Amino acid sequence: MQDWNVILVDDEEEFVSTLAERLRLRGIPVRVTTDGEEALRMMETDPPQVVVLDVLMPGLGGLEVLKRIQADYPEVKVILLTGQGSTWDGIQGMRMGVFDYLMKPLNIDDLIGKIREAVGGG
Amino acid sequence: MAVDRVWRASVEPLLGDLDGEQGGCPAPFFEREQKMNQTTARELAFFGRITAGFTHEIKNILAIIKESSGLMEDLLSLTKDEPFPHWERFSHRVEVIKQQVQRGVELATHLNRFAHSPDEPVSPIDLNDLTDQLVRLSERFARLKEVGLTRSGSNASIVLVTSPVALQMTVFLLLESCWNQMPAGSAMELRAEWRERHPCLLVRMTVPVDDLGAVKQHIATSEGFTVARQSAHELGGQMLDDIPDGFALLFTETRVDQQAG
Repeated sequence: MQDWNVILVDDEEEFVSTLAERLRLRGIPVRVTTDGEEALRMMETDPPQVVVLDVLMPGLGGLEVLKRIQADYPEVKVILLTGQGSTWDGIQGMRMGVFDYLMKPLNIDDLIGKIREAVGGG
Repeated sequence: MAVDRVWRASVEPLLGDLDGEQGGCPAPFFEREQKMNQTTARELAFFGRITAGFTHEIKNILAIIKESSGLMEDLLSLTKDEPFPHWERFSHRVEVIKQQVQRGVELATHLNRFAHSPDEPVSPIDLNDLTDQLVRLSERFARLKEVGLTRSGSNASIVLVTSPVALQMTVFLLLESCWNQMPAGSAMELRAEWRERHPCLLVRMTVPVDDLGAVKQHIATSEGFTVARQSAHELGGQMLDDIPDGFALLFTETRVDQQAG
């Protein structure tokens, strides 16, 4: 089991729960939420090292959640998930200072690689 | 609306002073023309917006299928050393699902880009990207005519500043007029290149008959080709039919983004 602290945020429940199960099978403990506000509440009690964050979500959108994370938890690394055909959201996120971005659908090995880099595992 | 603004910015300089007379046509003609074009631009933008939204949703669905098949694969790998009579068949099916998801993702991505085409009535378009995009979206139509359609890449950056919708439609019409007349078993290749110092889209054909010239003649005299030729002309291009193994769409009057090169 990795000693990592990761939160996955995506409003597509089936997507995020299945992804979490796959990460846990690989020994990566993750917490999951489908809601941006809930993600911020989870961070209050136990700030993670990495947040994997979907851009397009109803309610509090990914970029708004990103701004709040950067304001309150500047040490937390954010990996954006974008489902758009273009990389515009990802580039926008990079300009805003995210650690990196990935396009959906994901390659799980790419995601794990990014998380490893973000927690400083090289 | 943003589309109106962009349309005005791109078209008004071309039309000049709308209060005056333009090329012998009275101002009301241009106003009417402009209003029609604005309406068309709005309608296209609406169509594109809805389609782009749906392709986004389709990608979300494909992402769920991909993660689910990935999880099935993970679970199968955990049972590899345990007795499981249908392990091979299950494993093969999971692989098929993954391949089809990948195919769906590529199509949805290209459709999403295509749906964003009307976002701006005039914008820079890389001809290499355009050939890739059009071949992906058109190969099914060619396949139904039993004609292969591929593209060959070019390292040269060739960027036109024109209407993305009109340009894609013109190239599609050209390709369609070819595969409609080509015999089954033929092949076409689309390539962007510089020719006579102008941007050019080249369609090269291979046919399973001796007389390529006759096939070309059928294409060049077809209604579809005539429409493609007219459409190319409106974009500042000309259709060349004297290429030995195909056709070329040469952009002699179309604005080229020199900075991109």
